[in-house]
Parts: sequence; structure tokens; C-alpha cells
Amino acid sequence: MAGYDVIFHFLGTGLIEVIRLVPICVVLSLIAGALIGIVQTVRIPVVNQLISVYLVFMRGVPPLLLLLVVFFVAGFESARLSAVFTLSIYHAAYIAEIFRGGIQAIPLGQFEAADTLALRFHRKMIDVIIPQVWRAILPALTGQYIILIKDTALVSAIGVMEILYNARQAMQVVYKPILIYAIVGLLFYILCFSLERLSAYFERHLQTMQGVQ
Amino acid sequence: MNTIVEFDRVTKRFGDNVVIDDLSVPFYEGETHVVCGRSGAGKSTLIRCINFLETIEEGCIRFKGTVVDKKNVRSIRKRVAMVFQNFNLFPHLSVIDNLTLGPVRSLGIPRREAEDQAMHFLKQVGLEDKRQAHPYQLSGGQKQRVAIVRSLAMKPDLILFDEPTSALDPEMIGEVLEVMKKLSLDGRSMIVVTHEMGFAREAADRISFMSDGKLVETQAPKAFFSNPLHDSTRQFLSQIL
Ligand SMILES: Nc1ncnc2c1ncn2[C@@H]1O[C@H](COP(=O)(O)OP(=O)(O)OP(=O)(O)O)[C@@H](O)[C@H]1O
Ligand SMILES: [Mg+2]
Repeated sequence: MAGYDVIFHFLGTGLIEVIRLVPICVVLSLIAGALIGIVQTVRIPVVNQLISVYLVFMRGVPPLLLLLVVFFVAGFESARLSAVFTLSIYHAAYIAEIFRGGIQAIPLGQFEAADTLALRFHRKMIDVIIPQVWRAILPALTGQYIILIKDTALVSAIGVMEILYNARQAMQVVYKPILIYAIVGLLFYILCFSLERLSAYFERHLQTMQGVQ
Repeated sequence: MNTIVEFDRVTKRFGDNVVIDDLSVPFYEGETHVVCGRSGAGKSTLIRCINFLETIEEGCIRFKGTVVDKKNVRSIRKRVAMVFQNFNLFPHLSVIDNLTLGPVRSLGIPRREAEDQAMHFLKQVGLEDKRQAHPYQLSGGQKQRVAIVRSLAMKPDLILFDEPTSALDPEMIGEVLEVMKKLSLDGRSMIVVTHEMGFAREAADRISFMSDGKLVETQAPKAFFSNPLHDSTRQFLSQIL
């Protein structure tokens, strides 16, 4: 059956592209989101208003539109770079909110105990607050990254050759849309499921490390 | 006697609520100064102003001559420790890491040295076998003893206690008060907000009664209990004893 190796070749290429995109976006959006979330809890007048504008904007715009606008306006060297940037800043907005909520849920006494020990702000965050935030926000983070994985299907709109793009290519050679889309769905499912398993592993790990509180 | 903390016409408000009202009072080095008073009298606020957890509206607080303000806050917090009603141990850290965090990160003491130091104090409160435990594995009394050791590990010039036994089951109050009495005998400077009048009688050098934003009465324990000058103190004592 000549058709199948064509299908697997194309979809495999697409899958590899997604696997290359997602971790970079995860790391970038996590760093940006954590920083923005932390800054938000400090309440610096002008900075906070700028952040609010950014958050409202990101949450009010469809990601596909954002991809297209950034691609045509920002002039990145490659479509892939443009896609990584867009997905990262888009999801960073949601992750910032997750972090802000997580930090605000930490009892005031923890901040005060850290202050009383004369810790500087960054040490208070790194040593006391953020380690406690992780466990509470891990499920929400996982949910957000599952959406990120699914959002990679959009980047074919600017010519990044992810799974869906390759599916269409494969169909030009072997016209089996139902089979091909079924495999596409399965691949996404496997990606998301793996992420959930990974997250569950981390959650258990954090629990044994930190104990029940 | 040297003054360690001096309130100089201090006023603190929360909105319209005047919690500390034009208060001037010295606290002395090497003394255990107990502050008591009714709920809402402003006792917690009073001691929280000393390490800048609260900011004051008027007047001035000096710690060993240094004005307590935003500029000096870190240098003051390095020398003033605090023990909270709810312990506020760091739940994600082991006991030993709770104890070394401040010394290592704030005071810049090498980790090994900080650990040795912490173990020394931990032995004094009888918890050396808990060094690797996490706070959730400790009883309330043990948690508070660890919290006291955490404050000692900062080698403070002054320790503030905010109702350190109020969150404890009755059978655990004794073990915490024992530790505090020892510290008091060692001649440490302590300001203790507490309702434990037994402790005050035995360990305090002076006792203040706080009411209406003022320390209306400050006396040595004997006089405080046998011959309170102020009506509100007398009333308070008759209710609590
Ligand atoms: N963060 C705050 N915002 C507004 N009001 C506050 C705040 N903290 C304390 N107050 C008010 O200040 C007054 C004094 O409170 P404080 O906690 O100092 O009293 P306290 O003597 O420690 O009482 P307790 O024995 O119940 O601990 C109270 O009327 C309280 O409602
Ligand atoms: Mg209080």
C-alpha cells in the first residue's frame, strides 16, 4: 500500500514540527507569564496599567488573527519564529493570570514571615512564594498548555508546516480525508495525553517533596 | 538601662480608626516586656510597627537609635525577629531549611555554619531529631518551637512575640512558654504580646496594659498584679485571672 507511507511521511514531518514548537513556547510563555504575574502582584502604577492593556488585548483577540497580524506586521525572519513569538505572548497572558491568582492565594503570613527574615523581594519570591505556588497552579497550567498544543494547528495559516498543513499535503497525493484527519486527531490526543501524564507525575513529585499541607 | 526601641509620639491609623494614639514609650535592652490588653486594643499593630510590617502616620520609632522607615527596613529586620501566632513556617521546606533560609539568604552566613548554628538552637528546644521533618509533620507546639528557633537563628537583638501560644492546644502551651522563659532568663530583649498572665508574672521584667491606643499602665509584675493603678487594668485583670 503505497498510500500509507506517504501519509506517515507527511504527518510525521508535521508532528516533528509541533514537537519542536511546543517546548519553546511552553518555556517562553512560562517565563514571561510568571514575570508578568509576579509584577502584577506588586502594584506598580503605570506598569500595571500597561499589563492590564496587554492582558485585555490578548484575551479579546482570536489567536488566529494575532498570528496573521504579527506575521504580516512584525516582519520576523521566518514564519516559525513569528509563530513561536505569537503563541508565547498569547499564552503568557493566560499564564500570567494563573500565576497572579496562585500568588494571591498564598496566606499573607508567608509573605510576612519572609519579610521578617529580611529577605529581598526576589529571594522572597524564589525561595518562599513561588515554590508554594507551583502545586496549586499545576493543573491550570497543564490545561493552558493543552490549549497551546491545540493552537499549534493554527500556525499553518502563516505557512508553518505543522500537522494540519502536512495533512493537506498528504491528501493531494492520497485522497483519504477521513483516515488522515482521524490520524491527525489521534496524534493531537497522544500529545495532550502525554502532557497530562507528565503533569500528573510532577504533581506527585511535588507532593512527596513538600508533603501534605 | 539602654533603650532598644523607642516610640516617640507615634500615631497609627487604619482609615479613621486610630489604633495607636500619640504614644511615647521606651522598651529596654535585656528586658522581657509583656504587653496585654483586650482584643482589638492594637497590641499586634504596636509590635508590627517595630519591624515595619505596619507603617505609622505620625511620630517616629527608633530601634537602637535607627529610625524605622523604608530606607532602613532591611537592616532593622536583620536585627529584629518575630514569632507569629500562626507560626508561619514555610510548609515546602524542611525544618532545617526553614531555619537556615534567613541566615543564608539575608545575613550571608555560609550554609554549613548556618546549619550548625540552627542545630545548636534546635537541640536547646529538644527538636534535633526533627531537622529533616516538614512542618506538617509537627505538632502545634513543635511548630512554634521551630518558629522560635527560626527567629533565634537570625541572631536578633530583639524578638517580638505576637500571641505565640494563642493558636495552640492547651497541653502544648507549656512547652512553648518554657522555651520563652529560658530566653527571658538568658537576658534577651523580648516584647511579648500574650494573654498568659502566668508567664507574665514569672518572666516579665515589666508589663504594659494597652487600651485606647495607649499603654495606659506599665509596671513591674508584682505591682501590676497586686496594685494596678488604672481602672481599666483592674477590670481587665479581674476578668482574666
Ligand atoms: N490591616 C488592617 N486594616 C484595617 N484595620 C486593621 C488592620 N489590622 C488591624 N486593624 C484594626 O486595628 C485595631 C487593632 O488591631 P490589632 O490586631 O492590633 O489588635 P490586637 O490588640 O492585636 O487584638 P487581638 O488580641 O485580637 O489580636 C482593630 O480595631 C483592628 O480592626
Ligand atoms: Mg493581635
